[in-house]
Amino acid sequence: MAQIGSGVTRFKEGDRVTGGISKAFATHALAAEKDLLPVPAGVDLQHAIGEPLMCVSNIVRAAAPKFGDHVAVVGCGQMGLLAIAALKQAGLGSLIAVDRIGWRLELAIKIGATHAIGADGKNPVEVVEEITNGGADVVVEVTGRPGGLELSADLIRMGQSTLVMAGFH
Amino acid sequence: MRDQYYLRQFAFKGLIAHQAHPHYSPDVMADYARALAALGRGVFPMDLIVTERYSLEQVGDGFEALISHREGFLKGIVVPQL
Repeated sequence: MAQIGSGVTRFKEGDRVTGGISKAFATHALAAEKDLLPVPAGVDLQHAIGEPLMCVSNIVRAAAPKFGDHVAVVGCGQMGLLAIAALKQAGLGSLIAVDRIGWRLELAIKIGATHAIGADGKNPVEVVEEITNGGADVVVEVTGRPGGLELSADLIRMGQSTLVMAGFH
Repeated sequence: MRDQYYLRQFAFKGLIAHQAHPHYSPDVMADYARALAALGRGVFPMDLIVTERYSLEQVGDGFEALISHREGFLKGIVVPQL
């Protein structure tokens, strides 16, 4: 925070902040007080990428897996991997990372996925059916591509299971 | 890239779809707050996610890396005073 306007009460000069700021490819940017939040102490400012993390919160709150649910994340780019980090919990039946790229799947396991599939030539639908005994209860689609969306619907269990479309904007 | 979607399985599976665009959120700033609190708790392994840093002059390189899908690239950030 380089400078504050009159009437700003929540921040002072020198504060570390993030939030939804447009026109930000610059050394400085103008933002409304209501659109900013403080970066927690101890967090590297270069890691405080507010907007994508806000999206992860939105995605994971939409996914809202219940105890014992099998959850699949289709697409393991930065958003898929961040979603895996936010979704992992001891109570899940499984947390399955799906991608076609091996090094991304290795990261997914490192971050907390229980299974990583899609890069070994096996049919992911069959593999997920086997892991989940009939399909995933929650699928988070993060590829933003027709094939990813169709695969997500193929992976999901019959009957009011939750598909979160996170890759389409 | 194909631009056709076959939604037959959407109907057949009887699924419930949520379109988690930011406009889906009932309170975007509450999502910011939850996300930043989680960041402070160490939920997100940002050291593994942020793989590239670019100065303002290098922004073009960053976009080229983004669309290249090269191995190891996940998230590039712009650091004005790199």
